[in-house]
Amino acid sequence: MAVAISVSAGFAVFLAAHLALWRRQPSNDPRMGRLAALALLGVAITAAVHRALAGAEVVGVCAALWFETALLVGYFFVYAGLARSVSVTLLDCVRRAPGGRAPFGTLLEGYQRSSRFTDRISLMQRSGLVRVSGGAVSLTPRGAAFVRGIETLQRLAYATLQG
Amino acid sequence: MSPIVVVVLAKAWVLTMWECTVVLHIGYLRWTRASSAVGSAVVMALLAAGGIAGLWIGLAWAPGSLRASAVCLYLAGCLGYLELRSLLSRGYSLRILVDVFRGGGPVSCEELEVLYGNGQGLSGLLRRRLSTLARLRLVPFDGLHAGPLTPVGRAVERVASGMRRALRTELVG
Repeated sequence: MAVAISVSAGFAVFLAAHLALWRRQPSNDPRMGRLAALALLGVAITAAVHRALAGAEVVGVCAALWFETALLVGYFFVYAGLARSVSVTLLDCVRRAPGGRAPFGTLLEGYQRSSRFTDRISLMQRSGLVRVSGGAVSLTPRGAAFVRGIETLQRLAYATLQG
Repeated sequence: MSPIVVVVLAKAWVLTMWECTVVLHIGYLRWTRASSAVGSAVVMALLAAGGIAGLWIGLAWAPGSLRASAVCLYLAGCLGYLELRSLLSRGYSLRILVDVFRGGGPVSCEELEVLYGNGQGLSGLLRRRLSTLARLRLVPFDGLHAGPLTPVGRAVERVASGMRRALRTELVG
């Protein structure tokens, strides 16, 4: 029972803080770092509540923390899919189209007209991965190192980047 | 057995099962040259089911709550692995970075939009996404038109758009 209560409390605080912060400061930046900090807050609350309810019992605390971690990873999975997903945006565009059916050309035109592509570049610029000068985009040394790391990971995981 | 030893052994068991799952899945992809997305998904599901069974049997000596949480932790690891694979193969921003990297020098935003994904451009990106959505039976796509959304597609869209509205992240994707 202590495990269920502490996990619920930690996750509820995480979700409430996430919702409140994101609503107060809307942004198209996924802010994964900030979300990870909120997740740590949720984990700390789970540990504190479990300790208050059942004392410093190692097995119980670990069980609670593992459940909490699993819930948070599941939420990150949903959030990453939701926050930046091109597919979700396409589903939304199709639903809004007259008769619920959209010509491919219209979807493409809408996408090209929006700032979605340049927004991504601005976000990468803010992260220090690219620099934009005179309308031209180039990689920073950090960006180049990041791409090399990703290519190594792709070889290891046998994944082919399609985009 | 001391509680700390119980926890350490349980965690080691979770890690071992997760590593086996990941190594076997990558091994399968190498063996079949990643020829089938459905095959990959089926094998991953089978491996995960085997992992859960292995954990449940292997941790029979552990307290029930730790045993159940170990299974959840293992599943979280599998989700993390799938998320990483998705990023490595379908990352939109990552693709832009790789295109700039392979370009060798500064590239204009307009050129990048055209060059995106080995010269397929944004059109190629949207076609791939719509084809995947069609394969998942969320929306029919014949190459010229997309829609109308299937009942499952409508439900997915409603939940995702609702979450975007709640989090005020509508201008993304």
